[in-house]
Amino acid sequence: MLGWFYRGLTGGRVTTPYPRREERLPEGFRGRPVVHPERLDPEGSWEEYERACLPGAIRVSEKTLTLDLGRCICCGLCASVPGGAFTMEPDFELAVSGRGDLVTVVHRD
Amino acid sequence: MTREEREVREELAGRVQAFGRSLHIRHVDAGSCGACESEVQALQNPFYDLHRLGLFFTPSPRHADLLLVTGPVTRAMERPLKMAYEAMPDPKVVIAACGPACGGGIYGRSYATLGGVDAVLPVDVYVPGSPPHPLSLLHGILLALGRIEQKIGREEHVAGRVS
Amino acid sequence: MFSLYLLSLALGAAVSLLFGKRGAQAGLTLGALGGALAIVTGLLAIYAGGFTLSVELGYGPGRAAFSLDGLSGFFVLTTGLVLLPVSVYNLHQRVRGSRGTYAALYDLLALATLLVFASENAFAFLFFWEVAAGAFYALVAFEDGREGRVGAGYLYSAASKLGTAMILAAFFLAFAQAGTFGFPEMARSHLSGGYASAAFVLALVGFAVKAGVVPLQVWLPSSYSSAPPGAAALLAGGILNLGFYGIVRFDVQVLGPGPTWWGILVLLLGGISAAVGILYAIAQRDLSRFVAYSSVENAGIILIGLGIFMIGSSEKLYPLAALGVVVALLHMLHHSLAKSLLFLGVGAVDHATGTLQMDLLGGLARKMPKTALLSFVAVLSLAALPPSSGFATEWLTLESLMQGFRLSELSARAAMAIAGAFLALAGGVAILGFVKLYGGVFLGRGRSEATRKAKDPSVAGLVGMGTLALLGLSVGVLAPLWIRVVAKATASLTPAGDISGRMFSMWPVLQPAYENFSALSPTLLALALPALVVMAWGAVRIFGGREMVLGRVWTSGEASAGGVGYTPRGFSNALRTVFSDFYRPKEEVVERLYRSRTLFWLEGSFYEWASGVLLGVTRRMKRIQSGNLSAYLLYVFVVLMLVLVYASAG
Repeated sequence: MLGWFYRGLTGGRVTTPYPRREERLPEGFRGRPVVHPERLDPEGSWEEYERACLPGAIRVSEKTLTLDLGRCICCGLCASVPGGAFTMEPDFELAVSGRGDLVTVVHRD
Repeated sequence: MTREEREVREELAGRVQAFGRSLHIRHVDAGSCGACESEVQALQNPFYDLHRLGLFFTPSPRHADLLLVTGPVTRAMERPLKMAYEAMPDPKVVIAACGPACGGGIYGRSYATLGGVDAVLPVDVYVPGSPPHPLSLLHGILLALGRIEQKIGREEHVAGRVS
Repeated sequence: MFSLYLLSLALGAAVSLLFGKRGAQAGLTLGALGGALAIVTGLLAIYAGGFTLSVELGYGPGRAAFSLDGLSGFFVLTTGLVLLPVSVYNLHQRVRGSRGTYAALYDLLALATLLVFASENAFAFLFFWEVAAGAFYALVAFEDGREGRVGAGYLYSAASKLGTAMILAAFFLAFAQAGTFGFPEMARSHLSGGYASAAFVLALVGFAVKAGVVPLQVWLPSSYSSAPPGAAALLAGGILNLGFYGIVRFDVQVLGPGPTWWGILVLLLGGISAAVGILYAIAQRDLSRFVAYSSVENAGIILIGLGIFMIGSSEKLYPLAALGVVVALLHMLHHSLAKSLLFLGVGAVDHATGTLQMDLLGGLARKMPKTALLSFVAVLSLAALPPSSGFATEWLTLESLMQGFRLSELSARAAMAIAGAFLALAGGVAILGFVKLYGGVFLGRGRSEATRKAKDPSVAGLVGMGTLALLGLSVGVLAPLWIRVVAKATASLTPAGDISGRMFSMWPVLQPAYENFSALSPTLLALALPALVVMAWGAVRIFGGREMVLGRVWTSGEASAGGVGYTPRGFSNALRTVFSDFYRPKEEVVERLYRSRTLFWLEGSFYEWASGVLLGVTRRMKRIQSGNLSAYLLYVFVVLMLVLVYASAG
């Protein structure tokens, strides 16, 4: 008991100042997948991205590629597909007020 | 932001005005894996300390202003979740925290799950992530209270071009 | 006038016995009539001087005078006030067994009790006392088909015999000194010293058995809960008072003021009874046993008042003494009315649900709203909450105890303080207990099938209960009026006379017989409290403005609400744990079930030990009954020799 008391007194303040100030998360935090549309070939096949996504957050149709954060588990497998269309951004301010705000769509043209 | 979306946001802002600087949160686990619960628990440790912001957890929905739901809502939890929502006095706010609660996540819609909280209740804020970082949850709660801005939104791109 | 109510009851008993079921209804109506007449007679006895009726009983007992003075008039009044509504209630009460016999016993019991109050002769007193005891036993064991009834009857008989033996011994001691059985003559020939103290203690023990004072209360809970509730109401409201009457009449009037230790003994017995009684009450699971133990508590409070009376008389502080007896009798009146009402409510619950286990009841306020409301009046009164009668009388009792500083003897002052502490404890636990009772039985939701088909009793039952409720409320709200009656009734007991003048600072405000000490007005409270409630309600209506939505009970997401919530047993568990050293319950594991048998040590171990000793002694004495004729002849010879020696010596 006293050990914790001492530790608390000498440890100083560890509380994050968020939201007053910005918070930087440590190295290694995966965050969420972000699409880079310029690295997507409009003529190419996007099937591998759909196959890489286990929970089915990435859906590819004839004309679009859809990333739904509502189904995403942030595993990062899409980011390991060669081509680099997806990268993981260590972003944590992800809350939205509409279901539609979680969707990113890329059109072929 | 469309006009509809703006109206929805304004309505939410009106609802939360009554809360003032203090909020009581009731958490319901609607069949989640448990990782999100750990992250919710972490909000109470000295690192994130949600009490400094006037936010508290309460065990009874009768005392709660905000319903925090984790899990894809299994079919067995549909009724208890609805009962908890109905037991809360107005005004109330619902947050779907964690990926499965937003859109089904890894479970989707199946024989056992309903694919997200919005199949059962009207959701005001979605917090994706599996599990969401405690700071994501904090962002979500503060977004619901109107104390912080939304950072991401719907995106439309065209392939091959920089957006 | 005097004999009219007796006649009515005697006729009622006879009619019931002879004419079976329909005769029973007539008999009960005559009983009610007798009650009404008793009320009138009692009031007349108090205000218009006493009555006397003399009957020659022949050589032994001498002249038997039946008279009513102020004191016995008040007891007759109280009994009448209970008898009338309870008889009306009994018109509706269903009994398991011969209804004619039931009504006859009921009327007989009332008759015998009223005659005890009127007896001025020790022999007549004992005669009717035993008749009442016999009728009491018959009522307790009446529903002999049900479990435990006969056993309760035996227990009661044993206790009653013990009590009567003590009283008999005391009376004989007095007779030895006075040469006659008449009470006024005994009073005039003052008993002295050792004789008086011995007679005092014997009579106190004997009457305490009847009054249910700890540690002689062991028969009371089982007897009251065995008797049909319609009869239990009469038992608790009318017959319990026999014990108090005996104490006041014999120990006080006949023996006169004695040494201070008499009063101290009574005071401490009262305090202990109050605390122990209510502590046992709160641990009960059976509704009628709870109510019975509450009677033990109230007996203790009445005894406290009587103790103050005795101490005051011994120290010649007559206002205090008069205050003590007024307080005691007022509390007795309140208890009779409230307890009878509560027993009638218990009877209604038993009739409606078939069970008296509090853990199986609940939610009856919705099914039996009128019963719930009337029982609430009784519960409010017994828990001594304002503005009820119990509140007024308990306040007065506490205030009287606080007058202890006026006494000169240190031991007396200490006793007053100790009794006050016990009373305070009893008061607090009583509130807890009655919350458990009312909340567990009437409020909340039903906990078992038994409560589904419950409904209010019929008109007769409700009229009976309603009358008692109104009377009970009047003792609180119109306390000044009733205090005047009691003070007049007890005027002859102390040289302070009628202290009604000293009891009020202004008309509706009471004070404990001494000026500038403290004041309370139950009458004004009874006006102020509802007014405050109305004002609060009005303020909410005007300034509130929030919408109210009716929703389901929150049951933690479970489908039904059954089984959710506190049970009465759980409610009292905290107290039982805290006082576990006092209760010392026996816990055992039977086969694979954990069972906690709450046989409390006072009734278990103590009585087991005592009866073991008694049985051992009697077993050894049985050897005298050898069956050997020569041995018996030897006994006769020895006794004859002793008698001759005594006669020649003295």
